[in-house]
Amino acid sequence: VFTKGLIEPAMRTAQSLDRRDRLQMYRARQTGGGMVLSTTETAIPGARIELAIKGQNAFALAFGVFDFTGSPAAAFWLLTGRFWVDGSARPGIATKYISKNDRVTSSRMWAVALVPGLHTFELHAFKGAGNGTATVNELGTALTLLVGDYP
Amino acid sequence: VSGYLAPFLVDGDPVSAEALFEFFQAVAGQDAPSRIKVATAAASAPLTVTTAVQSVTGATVNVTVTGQNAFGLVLAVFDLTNTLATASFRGLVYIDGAEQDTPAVKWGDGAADRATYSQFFPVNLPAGAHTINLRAVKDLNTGTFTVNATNTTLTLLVVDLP
Repeated sequence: VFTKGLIEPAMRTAQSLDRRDRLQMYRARQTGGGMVLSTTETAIPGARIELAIKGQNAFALAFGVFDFTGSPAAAFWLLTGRFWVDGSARPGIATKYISKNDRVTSSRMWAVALVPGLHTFELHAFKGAGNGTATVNELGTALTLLVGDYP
Repeated sequence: VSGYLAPFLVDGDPVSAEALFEFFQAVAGQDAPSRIKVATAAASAPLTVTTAVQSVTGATVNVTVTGQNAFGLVLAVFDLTNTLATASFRGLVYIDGAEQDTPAVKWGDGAADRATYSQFFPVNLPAGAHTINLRAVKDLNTGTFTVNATNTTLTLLVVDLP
């Protein structure tokens, strides 16, 4: 379990004069078992990070991995994973076209500029129209952030 | 994108490895030259995956950190071919001999296929020497999974904080 990149608020304040706390990492894994996908985009439980930004020139690099399963055979649809910041989806998707029983980790990176204040980062997923069942699995699904909080 | 990333990225564009490298080079030059390092390794031979965990030859990074609060970002990419396999593949990252908790996965579905599968995650790095490497395993002895050397890589960004 990754812990050292997460600086407690009091420590963050104490270190605010030191550049060493400005580049940090955060991670959130999916929780609660597999989530069955529907055609309605849904937040993935656990794959959510909230943090406060202080600097005027802050940014985040986000690394999203979606552990997708689709079945049964002869179902045809796109599984889509997206990255949301403060209630809005960012451009760009991680995707897998399902044409038979299949399971893969689909991944993508995103970059986002951040203004001072509280921010929420989430992974969402949905499927296109089609028969059969699609799931995003807990094992390989996670959101990782590299955050630069620069004044 | 504004601020430090602006010279390297266009808002909405996917982040390329080249842009990341240029960015971290710039950060290292402007901020703390000794604190941010990037180490990379590529597979040097194909690996035929079995039901026993095996290392991917060449995909090993050795780093030494001095800080008490160092951490790293692991970027693992497996270039995988499966031929008529009905087993599950797991691409693993090991740090100092310990398996990390989120693998790259592929379920062979009985059809030939090839793709790159990735996984990214942060790690704590206590002061000292560390070895990070890619390994692979499958759960059933059916079909063939091959980790190709061509595009299988391990990248480690190290932030060595005192």
